[in-house]
Amino acid sequence: MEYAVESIDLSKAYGSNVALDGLNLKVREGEIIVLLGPNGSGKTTFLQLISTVLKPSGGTAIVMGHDIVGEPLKVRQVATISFQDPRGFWRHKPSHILSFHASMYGVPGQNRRELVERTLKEFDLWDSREKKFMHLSGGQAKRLEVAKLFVHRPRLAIFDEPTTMVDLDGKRTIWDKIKQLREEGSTVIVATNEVREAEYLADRITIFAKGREVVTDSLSNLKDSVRGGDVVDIEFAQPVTRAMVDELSSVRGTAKVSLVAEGRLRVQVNRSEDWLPEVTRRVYSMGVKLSSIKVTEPSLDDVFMQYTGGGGP
Amino acid sequence: MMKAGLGTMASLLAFDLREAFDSPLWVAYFWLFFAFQFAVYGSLMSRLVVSMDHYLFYYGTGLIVLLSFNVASWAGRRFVESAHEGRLRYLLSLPLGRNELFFEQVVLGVAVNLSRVMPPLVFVLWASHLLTAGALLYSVLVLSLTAVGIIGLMVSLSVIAFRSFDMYSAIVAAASALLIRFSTLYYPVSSMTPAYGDVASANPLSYGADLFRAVIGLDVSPLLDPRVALAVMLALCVGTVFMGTFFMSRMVEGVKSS
Amino acid sequence: MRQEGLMLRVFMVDLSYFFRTKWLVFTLIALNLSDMFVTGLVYSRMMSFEYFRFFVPGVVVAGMFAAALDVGRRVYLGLTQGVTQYYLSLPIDLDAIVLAHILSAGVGGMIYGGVLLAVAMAAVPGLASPSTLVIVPFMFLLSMGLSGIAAVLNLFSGGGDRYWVFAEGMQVAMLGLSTVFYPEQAMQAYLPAFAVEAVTLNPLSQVAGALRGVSPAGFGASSLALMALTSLLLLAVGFVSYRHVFLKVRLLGKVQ
Repeated sequence: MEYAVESIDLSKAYGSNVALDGLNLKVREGEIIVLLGPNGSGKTTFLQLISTVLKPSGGTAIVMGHDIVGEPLKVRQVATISFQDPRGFWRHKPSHILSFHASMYGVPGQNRRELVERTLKEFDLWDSREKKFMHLSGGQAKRLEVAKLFVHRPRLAIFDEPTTMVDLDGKRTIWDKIKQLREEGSTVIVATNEVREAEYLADRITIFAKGREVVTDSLSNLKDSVRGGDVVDIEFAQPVTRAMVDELSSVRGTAKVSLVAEGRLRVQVNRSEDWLPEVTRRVYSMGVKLSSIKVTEPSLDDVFMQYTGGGGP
Repeated sequence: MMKAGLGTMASLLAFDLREAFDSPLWVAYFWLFFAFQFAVYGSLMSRLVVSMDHYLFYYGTGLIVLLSFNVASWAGRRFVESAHEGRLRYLLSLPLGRNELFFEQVVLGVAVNLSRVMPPLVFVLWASHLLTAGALLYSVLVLSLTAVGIIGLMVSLSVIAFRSFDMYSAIVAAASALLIRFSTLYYPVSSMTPAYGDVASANPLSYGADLFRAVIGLDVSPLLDPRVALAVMLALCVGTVFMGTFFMSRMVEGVKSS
Repeated sequence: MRQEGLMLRVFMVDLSYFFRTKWLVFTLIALNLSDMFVTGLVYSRMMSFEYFRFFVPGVVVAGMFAAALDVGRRVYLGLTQGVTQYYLSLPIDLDAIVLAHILSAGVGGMIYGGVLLAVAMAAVPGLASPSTLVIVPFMFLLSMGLSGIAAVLNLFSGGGDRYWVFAEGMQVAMLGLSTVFYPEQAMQAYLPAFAVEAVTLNPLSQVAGALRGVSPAGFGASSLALMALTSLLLLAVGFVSYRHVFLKVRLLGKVQ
């Protein structure tokens, strides 16, 4: 099995509103893929379709070798979703909720108690173990929602915005646990609005917009693909001349050259790692001395802007 | 400043009234419930009751007070629910005095009460051949008095919601069930055992129901003394309004919101 | 894990929800016991027959009905709080989720109705017969059937606030048009024939009648058979309705 998830023309419409429009996305086994997109771009719909909570309007997806339309039960036996909004039994305590969840995935009774205790501690919920779900804070409920997947460790773990409402410490804990899950062999899909989350977690990133996949690639390739995305600030030991500007402009990969001070240029380039050696060579041959070079890579926001034409993640 | 507060209170009242009237299904159910209970349950029980003539009218008037009680309880419960759902925090942040907020709740409860109860009230008075302008006016006054007392009581009871919203719901629901059954809503004190009669005579709802029956001119022989009833209802009203304002000015900030 | 085991776990959670909702249990107990020991006794003094003996079995039925119907409230909350979607994400078959809800309605109604029945047996000497216990399994069956009514309410309310109106209306209508509060003869003299027919077919009338007809010799087999038949019919309606509700959630993400 090459792919953990392979969607084939997967579509979902609610009346005239098309939430997902013929998606063909492949998720490799053992990777963390992050779905990034604005609200209403179809991320949650996609996650709920591949976890068989929703039924597609068209197309299908193969999840761990099982068709979501033909074999939904088999899909649910290998794939588990952590919902965007915490879903718990309002009058039950966190330990009951985790224990119930574990039992639904066949975790033996004798292991459950210890497993639940450990998970509650790992997700900083131990002190709240006597509270009913309805009395948990937003962040606690969210941590519990995420913790469900760690009591049985599914082969495909699906997280829909796993750290919304969670404080900074909690975010870091969840991210590390998700990475650990991947290291232990699970394939992980994460939908998020948070660029920092995507940067921290992703092996590959898929950008969604208007129910479609815009691009899927690794973070570094996505950044490299931004035209003029790398910004290089060069400080010279002498005033900048017209000839120096012309020379830099002629280097392959240069997008724009701007004079920011008497001895400083700002150059927007495509791939700074290819561009810099060539520039260094040419500047040296011109007999000009460099004082400093500073490279700033494009952010994921810039990547997003390039591919979606605006409307931040 | 006071004028500004009254203006805010009026705006809030207008908003709440619009919301309260924006549920035609509930209003329809309310009137259908009355019609069904009067025409089916009341009529059938009236055929079985032999200890009093025209039990249907006795039952009908009790039903009106029950409806009034239910709407007033809803108004009080709505206040606690607004705390539970977080809306109260927003209300407390508005440029509105705590007492004004309490009175807004009371006025809202009375207004909704009258709008809901008026059609059944007119019907029962008409069916009992007791429909006069005076009877209607006095009934409105008595039902409003009862409603104010109940709303004040329910808002004051929300102090229980400090500890637990569930406990508040349990106590209010169970207390309401007992208040209704140990009252003269459905049967006069004279039909009860002495022990039950004593409990019913200590129940303000009994005085509300019997005062209502007295002012519309229903046979007063099985009723509690109307003068005592009026005194009890006034005391209930003043007492619970005092409790409500005390609660609102001193303790409302602590009402549980989760 | 086998589907039966998973169904049992969903059933346990759903059932425990009823008993964990303490305000509801308090309300039901206060209502039912005060109906028995206040309303029933006072009306007895106002009527020419011993209304208390007549009314107490009716209260048992009303309590069982309320407890069984509570599954509708739980499903409503499940739909609004997202628990239904959570169930749908678990490795459990849709039919097993539906059966778990129906089963929990049956057991909830039977337990609560059973406790009231025990109180009734202590209060009404005629009921304290071993024959009365024969009715307990039928109460279970009927409670499951009554969950069918809750399912229809869930279906037509579309998961919205209308559910509360429908549920209250249905409760008032079903109890009011039954022999829970008054004998059939009184209704025959007042209600039109079709309404009396509805009262006779009403399962609440059937179980109330069966309880009132308890004698050391047991029950009439025909009344029990009619009750079982009505229950099974309602149960089938409930199964189809809940299935439809959950399929709709899977299709639309919500009921309507």
